[in-house]
Amino acid sequence: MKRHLQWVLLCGIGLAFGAFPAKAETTATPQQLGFAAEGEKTCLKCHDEQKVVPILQTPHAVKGDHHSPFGQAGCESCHGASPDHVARKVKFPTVVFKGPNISPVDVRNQQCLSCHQSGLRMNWQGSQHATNDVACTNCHTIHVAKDPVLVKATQPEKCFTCHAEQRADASKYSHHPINEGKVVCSDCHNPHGSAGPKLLKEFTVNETCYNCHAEKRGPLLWEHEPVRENCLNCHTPHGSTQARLLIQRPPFLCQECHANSGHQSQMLGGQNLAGQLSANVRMMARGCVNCHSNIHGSNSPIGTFFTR
Amino acid sequence: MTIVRSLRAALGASVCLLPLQALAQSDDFDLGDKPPASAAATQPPSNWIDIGGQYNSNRSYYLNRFTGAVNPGFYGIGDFHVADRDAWDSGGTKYWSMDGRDMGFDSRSFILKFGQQGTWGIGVSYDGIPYEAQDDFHSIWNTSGGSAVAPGSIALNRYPRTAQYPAVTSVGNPIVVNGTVLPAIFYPLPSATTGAALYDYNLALRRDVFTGTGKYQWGDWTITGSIRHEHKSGYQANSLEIGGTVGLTGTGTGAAKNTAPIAGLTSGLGYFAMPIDWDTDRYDLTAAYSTDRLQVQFGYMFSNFRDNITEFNAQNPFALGAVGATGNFSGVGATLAGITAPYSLPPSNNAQQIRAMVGYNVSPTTRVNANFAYGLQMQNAAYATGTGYPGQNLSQPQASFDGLVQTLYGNVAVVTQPMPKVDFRLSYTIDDRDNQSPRSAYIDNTRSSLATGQDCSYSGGRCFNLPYSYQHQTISAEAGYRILPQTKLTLNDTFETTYRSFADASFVTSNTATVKVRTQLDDDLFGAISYAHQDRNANNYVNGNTWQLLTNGGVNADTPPNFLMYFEASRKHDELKGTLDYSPVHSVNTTLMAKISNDNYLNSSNGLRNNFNFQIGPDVSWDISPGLTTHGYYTFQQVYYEQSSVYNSAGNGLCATCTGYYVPWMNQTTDSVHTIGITMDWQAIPDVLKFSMNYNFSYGDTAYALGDGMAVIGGGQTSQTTVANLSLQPLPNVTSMLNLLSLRGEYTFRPNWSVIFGYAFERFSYKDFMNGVSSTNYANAILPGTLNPNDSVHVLGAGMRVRF
Repeated sequence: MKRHLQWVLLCGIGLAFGAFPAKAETTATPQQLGFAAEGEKTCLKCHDEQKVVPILQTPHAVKGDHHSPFGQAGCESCHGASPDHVARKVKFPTVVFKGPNISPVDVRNQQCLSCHQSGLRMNWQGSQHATNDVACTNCHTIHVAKDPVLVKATQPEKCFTCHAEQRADASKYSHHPINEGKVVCSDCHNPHGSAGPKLLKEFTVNETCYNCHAEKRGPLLWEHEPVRENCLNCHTPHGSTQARLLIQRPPFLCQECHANSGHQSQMLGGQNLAGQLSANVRMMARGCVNCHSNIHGSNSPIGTFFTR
Repeated sequence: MTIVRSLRAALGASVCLLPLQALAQSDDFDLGDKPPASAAATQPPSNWIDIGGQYNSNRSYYLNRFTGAVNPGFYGIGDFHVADRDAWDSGGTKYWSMDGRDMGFDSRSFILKFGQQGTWGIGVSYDGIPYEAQDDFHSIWNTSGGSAVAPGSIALNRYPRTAQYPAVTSVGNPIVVNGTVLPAIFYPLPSATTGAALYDYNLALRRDVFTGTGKYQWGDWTITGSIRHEHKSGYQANSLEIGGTVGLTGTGTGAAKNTAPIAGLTSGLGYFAMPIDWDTDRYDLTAAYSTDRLQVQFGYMFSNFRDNITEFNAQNPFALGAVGATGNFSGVGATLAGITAPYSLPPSNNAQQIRAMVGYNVSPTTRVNANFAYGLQMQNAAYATGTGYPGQNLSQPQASFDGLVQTLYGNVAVVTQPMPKVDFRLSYTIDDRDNQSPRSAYIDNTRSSLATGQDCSYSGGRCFNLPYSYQHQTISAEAGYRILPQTKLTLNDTFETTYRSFADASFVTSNTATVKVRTQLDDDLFGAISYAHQDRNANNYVNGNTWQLLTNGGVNADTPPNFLMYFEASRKHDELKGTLDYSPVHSVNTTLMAKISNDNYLNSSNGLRNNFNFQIGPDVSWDISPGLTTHGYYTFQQVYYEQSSVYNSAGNGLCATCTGYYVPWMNQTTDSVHTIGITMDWQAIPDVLKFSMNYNFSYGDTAYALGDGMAVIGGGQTSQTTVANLSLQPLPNVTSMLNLLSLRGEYTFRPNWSVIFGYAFERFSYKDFMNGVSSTNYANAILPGTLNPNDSVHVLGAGMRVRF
């Protein structure tokens, strides 16, 4: 396989490392920058309602941590320096996150990215959500004791707000336990951006599936090509009306590829069902997989056709 | 509002989060005429403990398969959240929290976190994930592969069943048990089997996941590590066949066709409870450096999968072939029982990977991202026994695989805003799987028989394994232009190449063009629409290449030209998506979403020819009053598959007299799903009395339309004019229906003390023609007897919540 392009990647990374910038330093005081003299205390003189103060129980409000907003400029770390608002000259702070006077998406997001740009958020710029003008606060709720999207039981409902197809899939006969709270969207996806397809955490679909289904990883002596390349060739991960998250059922699923003449291409209809005189075992139980049961691949020397 | 599946969920989730959702709904810090407050308000208590119980009215495998609470009766409810941290303005950074969910169920979980924010942190957790598959599984084998037809052999029979497979009372011919004739595969039975029965299983799996994480912050560096251990155990339905292909060899006529004794039967199929005893360990270590302009992250991952049971060695329980008869088991006579059927279970394997991520803000408007990963996947478990046929020696090239795969992933992206209102993204991605496993010729023994594989013709019945490799390379360019503040046009073009080894089409290219518009149509109306078109071309096509490489030059004469596996075949893909958001007043928000996609495999002579997806549905949220909110949605989905193939008229059983015709046939599968959801939350007395209701409905219907060209092939035969009971018959639809209703009330009788009452009704039904099949329907197969799920459960619950 061609490998020369990996050197391009390595050179790119090297260039990035070669450009280690010095951290910008400022000698201006917070007041010179427009921030309130008493920080969050200025804001809390008026904004002490129940819808605001729960943030004081969260990591955002830990003054002892200089990484946190309250360890820097208080409320204005996120809402922007707002001297006119403090002076009661204007109704709203510089950056507004909700309501009819909401700030543009990129302005709001930049406030969050000023701290949260590393790790999971490293690929945010240009990602699908960023391109579609999704704001951080569309999913995250800051002024609460616990952000619902960070809780397994309530995260899917936030995603389902836009992803109605996946919401419907999660209620189908065969599904990952999303509604049951055992698997959540962020177990497979990184909504902040990723290098993989469909915002998957890993680089490929299969790598994502192997995180929980490592028994399929192999490599195996006899491999099934569509399995090796992409689990989605046969499965749909959010939910299916067919058993085992299959997109279609055997034998028809198998016959989407195995349609050359032979026993695999036999047309099977109602006359082949159980109880009929042409009853065929491929129309009972698991169909083709009754015999070809090691369908994800076999490590048996005699498992050429996945029967062992 | 969380979709509630049982009262347990209602108590645990919605009680906690309803007040949080209410707080989050309006966040508009408008001073108005509000005078300054004199002091900061008291923060509400955020710790809580729930204790209670629930009662399930019926047994429900489907509805409680992920909780383990499948039986009727009482269950305890226990959930808690306890946390504390240094006061926000104290200067301290210590914190700790403990969370427990579903403590009274097999699906219990626990999380403990503590540390010093901004310096270090540690977390440990446990998560139990049960999966109750079915309680109506039957097998002729016990869990060790021993012959099942032994007197009094009943294993794991948690739920006694007497209806379908009663004990053998007669070993005569035919074998009749309580009026039911056993399938022919049992014939003849030794007299000692009188009183025996098939094994009756409760198939269930369980994952126990233990995770530990640690983090340390050192200046601009953050070091994190995690260890995850998972143990999975239980039994899973699986099947194997003995003696070669399972053919239709029933004799007799009418209902007794598959139950009359069969002479010379040479193969059989049976289901078994595959034992699962797996351990998966994963170790991750990352070091991240972050400044305003540069973010870098290095990581290493090691994952080890260990299967503690390497093979399932089933004894041959079938009386295949009489003593002295010809056939696969001819002449064995009394040693028939000595034949075993070794079945390989997933081999132990491991993988490791090094990763690097870089993000650099070249300027305030330009950013470069690079992601890189290199990995190894290895597997060298000893092969399972090749054959269990006494005296047969299969000489294989090696005793284990010694498999090795190298993976390489790389991605570089530049995102820039060269001028106001314009943004641009250019990216390159490579995904390479290089399989360096050895390739050798293995002798294919026809499932514990004397015969070797007919398709594997090299050197006395050998086939060559195919270590698949592939490489995908993708270049993508995207440009966006903000025509107006609320109107944006986005254009994207993505070109991809794929190289595959051992494939019929070794080089595939595709180009996808996408256009997207998002705009404000009116004061309260926003819309978005996108269209994508993809052309995929399969190149370097060699008809039957994979088969030739597998069999060392064998040619499958029945492979038509231009027949390609659909995932590598040429294809035209079109997709149209649209969204409308309308919010006429602040309290009402409506959304309408629709999507259509179509795949045409125009050049494929057989296989999948067309795939069509359609989806549409409204979503409405309405805050009727300050304490009353509602939400409803409906989604309709339809998925359509069209496939074609060719069958040999002599072998299909549809035409008893015509032979040698290749008959084209087609199947059209249409999958239709309706999903409805309604939720309502009402604070009847603020902070004192509240109610909630949640209803969820899902209905799925899969229809098949089959047709063949028997009438056009000549010979005066049509599928409708042959023997009436052999004519093509339609397939019944497969349907599923789910109804979930939950009602909940919470009454706060004193500050921070609440009682909670709830009721839930859950009903699920599924009709599938492949289930509920008795083994008497087939001559030489012992089917598992899986029935269609048809569950309904009433759940009553009560509990108390204390906040502190």
